[in-house]
Amino acid sequence: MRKYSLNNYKNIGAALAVLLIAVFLFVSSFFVKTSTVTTLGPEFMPRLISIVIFLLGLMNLRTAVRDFQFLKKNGKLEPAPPPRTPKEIFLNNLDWVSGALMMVYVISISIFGFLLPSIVYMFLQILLYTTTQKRNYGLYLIFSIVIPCAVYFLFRNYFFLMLPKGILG
Amino acid sequence: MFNFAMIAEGFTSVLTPAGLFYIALGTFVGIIFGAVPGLSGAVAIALFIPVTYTLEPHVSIALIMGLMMGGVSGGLISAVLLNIPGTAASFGTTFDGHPMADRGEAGKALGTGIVYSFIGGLLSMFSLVLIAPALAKFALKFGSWEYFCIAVFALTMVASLSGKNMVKGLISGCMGFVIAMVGIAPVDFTPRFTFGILELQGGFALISVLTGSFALGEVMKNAKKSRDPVKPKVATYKIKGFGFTMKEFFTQLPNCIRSSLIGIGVGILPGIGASTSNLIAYSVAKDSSKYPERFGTGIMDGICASESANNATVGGAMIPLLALGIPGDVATALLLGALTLQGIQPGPLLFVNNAGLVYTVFASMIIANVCMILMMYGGMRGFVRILSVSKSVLMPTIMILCCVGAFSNNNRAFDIIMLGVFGIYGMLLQKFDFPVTPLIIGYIVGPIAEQNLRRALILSDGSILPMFQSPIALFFLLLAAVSVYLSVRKTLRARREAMAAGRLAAEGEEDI
Amino acid sequence: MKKLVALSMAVLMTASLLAGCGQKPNPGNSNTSASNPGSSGTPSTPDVNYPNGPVQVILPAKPGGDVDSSGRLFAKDMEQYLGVTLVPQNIDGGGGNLAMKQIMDAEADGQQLINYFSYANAVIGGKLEYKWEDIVPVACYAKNDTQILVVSKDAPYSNAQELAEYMKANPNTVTIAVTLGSPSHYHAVAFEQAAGVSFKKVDIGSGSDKVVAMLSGEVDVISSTVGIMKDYIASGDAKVIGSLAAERSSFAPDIPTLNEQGVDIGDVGFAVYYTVWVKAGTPQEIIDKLAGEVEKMTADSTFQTDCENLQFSPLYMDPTAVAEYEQKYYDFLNSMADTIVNDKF
Repeated sequence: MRKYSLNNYKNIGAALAVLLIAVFLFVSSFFVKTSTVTTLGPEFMPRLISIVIFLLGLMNLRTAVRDFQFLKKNGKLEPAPPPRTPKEIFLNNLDWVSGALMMVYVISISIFGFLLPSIVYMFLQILLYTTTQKRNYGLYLIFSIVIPCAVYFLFRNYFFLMLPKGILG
Repeated sequence: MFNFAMIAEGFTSVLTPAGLFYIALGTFVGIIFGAVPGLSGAVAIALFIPVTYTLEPHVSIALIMGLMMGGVSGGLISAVLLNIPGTAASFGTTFDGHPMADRGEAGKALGTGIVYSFIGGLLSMFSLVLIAPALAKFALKFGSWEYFCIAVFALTMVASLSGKNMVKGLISGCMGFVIAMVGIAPVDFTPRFTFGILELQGGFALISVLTGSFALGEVMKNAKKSRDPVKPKVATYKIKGFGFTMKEFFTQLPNCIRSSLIGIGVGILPGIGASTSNLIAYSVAKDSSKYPERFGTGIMDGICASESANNATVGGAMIPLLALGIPGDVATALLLGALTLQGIQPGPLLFVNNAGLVYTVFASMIIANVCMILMMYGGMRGFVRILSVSKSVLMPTIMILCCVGAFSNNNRAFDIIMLGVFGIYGMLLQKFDFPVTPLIIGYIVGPIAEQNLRRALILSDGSILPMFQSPIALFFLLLAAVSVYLSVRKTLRARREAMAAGRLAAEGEEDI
Repeated sequence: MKKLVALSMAVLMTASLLAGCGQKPNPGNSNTSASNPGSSGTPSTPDVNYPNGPVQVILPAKPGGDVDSSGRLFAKDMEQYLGVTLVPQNIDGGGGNLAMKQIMDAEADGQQLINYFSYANAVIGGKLEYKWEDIVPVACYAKNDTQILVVSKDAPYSNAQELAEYMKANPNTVTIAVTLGSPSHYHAVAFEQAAGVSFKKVDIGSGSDKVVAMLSGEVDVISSTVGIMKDYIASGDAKVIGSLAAERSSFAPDIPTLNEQGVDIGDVGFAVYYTVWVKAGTPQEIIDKLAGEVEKMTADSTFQTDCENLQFSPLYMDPTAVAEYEQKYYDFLNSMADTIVNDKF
């Protein structure tokens, strides 16, 4: 493992990312078609903003580098964390795991409809929230079915909000 | 303007069993829709329009006003208890509402929000009845240059609300602006940043961006927190009355009045609504306070400013609607549609020909406001009890409801997907210490600035001169300049102190 | 104990919801006294298996405009004739692309209708990714011929001739509020071509934004409707230049048309015909059945009252007639297309 934690490079990395984004935006603005000749075309603002972001990004980079060197000089860089098992990594990053679960959920709504993915998501998310000792699978299953059903039928039939039907309907 | 007979008539038309029932129903439903992140008062109104077909005009109005008042007030519940704004209008309430709740003073936070919502609403209603036509005429003076300058002023709030790191805050704000630019450009309707993907032409919905970056982040963070062996203290929420003293009440009154005025002012202007007014009010309150550094730690001032402003905006938005027939936002547009279908067309002669209607609206709003404060006060303990509902069930439910809300925006599954994407994006920003608040400000206000700038330039054939010839425009530019100056000075000073004390430049500033 | 109570309540709730799911409540059409549609000339169609459950009426606009209100009106009053719920769905954005995508992604079975009067506008404008042939009109159900050109009370002209003369004397100074590619743009160009003058076009927004701009003096001329402008005209804050329709409207019989005043924009004019369309390829029987029911609805007194409130005139055009009209309108707009597409602001 490396000597220092990746966290130390966090700000520099972010600053570089910002600069890259600014460049990307600037380049993309050239693909905007101007149809009518107005004083300020639709490409003006994107270009202006991307330049502003770039300049701000430079300032940000400078601060990040300065801080890094300050920490390095004073020996305050964060040391690398001890090696972790996959399970530890998993438990340490439950927020990101939830995030991944959410992404899968929202994408599957457009494929499978609203109801089924909601049930599955709810169940899994509850599991992520609870520790293995205190779990009550039966109760969670009930909630996972009842609540999405209630929401789905309420909004579809009483409010006529046509949530995606998908395969279940 | 003060015709007692007409006022009485207005009240009697609504104080029927049917009228009262529908106002109460509307307020109740509105509060719920407002409280659920992802749903809002406007969504509720849209869903209830079919119900209004069967009702008489007076009762339809009562119902819609209830939904509106409830919708804008309900957002504070989730803002305080969950750190997720129920609606964009309560965004500012999260800044101080949630920290206060975290300290165990959730009751006080809720109480503050409720009371000042009520007062804000009341003040705007009086302005509606007393000086609506005059205010409406004044609002007409606001053209494209004026709107542009207001937007610029609002954008400078990014600087003041950037928290620890102003540069990062500004970057966030610019990103927000860029996100808003995805879609069809104003004026010439050319697609921007769509990369050939058709769905992107619709741009991103406010709900996807706002709720995504905030609500989803909370759901994700809580997953990690809930496994913490150290459980946060579950304070017993003893609430006496509204949770704060009379003395505190009077101390906040000037703040409340100022914020309400801001809310009314913003409401009068079509095109800018409660989502902006609460932030402006908060920012102004912070900048003019003797203790700006305490904003964000959980003080009454922040909640008072945000909630007074957003409720006042409801009354403010009714002014152009009733006086000129011009709807200011989606909710008032729906109200206009409902009225038209009943055969009533609001316009400048409404106050003359159909003043009774105006007083019906006024009476409905007052009663709805009273219903709101009663219901929310009565429900306060219940709301707080919600916190004790297992987060493991509550959070996923919120996620599901957010998806429903995202879908309700434009009936597209795409918006739900973007909800998720912005959730991830919000988390990324937080992990890398970029403040998310400026992102939202840039997203909401940026387009207003761009659209009006381009329109103004078309009108003036490319010349900026007219902007400097308008006193209103100059006024807001001046405010913007002052705001920027104050923020920059504060940042530089804090940074100097930090460097002197040997701390990191990036962490030089105090909290928010 | 508490968990048991919650559990049983949950089960009860689900059961009742699933049971209630069977009957769909009728949202608001409590008019049981359906006026007898009477004998209309429509031949009764053999029993076609349509509709198959709730029908979606897609409104390619935000809530609050006339595409929205007309579509909702349609959805509300058609229920008793189709026997199912009609669900209005706002899908705004992409210049109509998003709404069109919804229609085109679905089956051509008549379950999805789109409420459009400006499809020709959208297609000619060039931003739409779909073609003229992609959807077919089923029936027109109402007409709105209350489009007028309006100026503020202080304007130095009060009718079409005066406006045209003023513009000839002062070219490119009179501003008109126009949204690129939309009906308002065509209104302006039609006037220009008919009178041989030239406006200075500016973008102000639509609907109420235009009214505000006109009242505040930011723009000189706007196109609006009688309904919106009625009060302003009565109070003297605004003056009507003329009606943009080919013939005078029954809602404003004393407003002369532009044609009458010598500014000849042709005999098609700019009246709005609210039409429902379906995806091309929908079986003709379905189209005919739907059209037949629309015809009955237009004769219904509730519908007629509702229309009046919105200043629409109930009007039925069967699939052939409406297709013919739409083509004529398309050609009319196309004649101005070059100018529109190359217009400079």
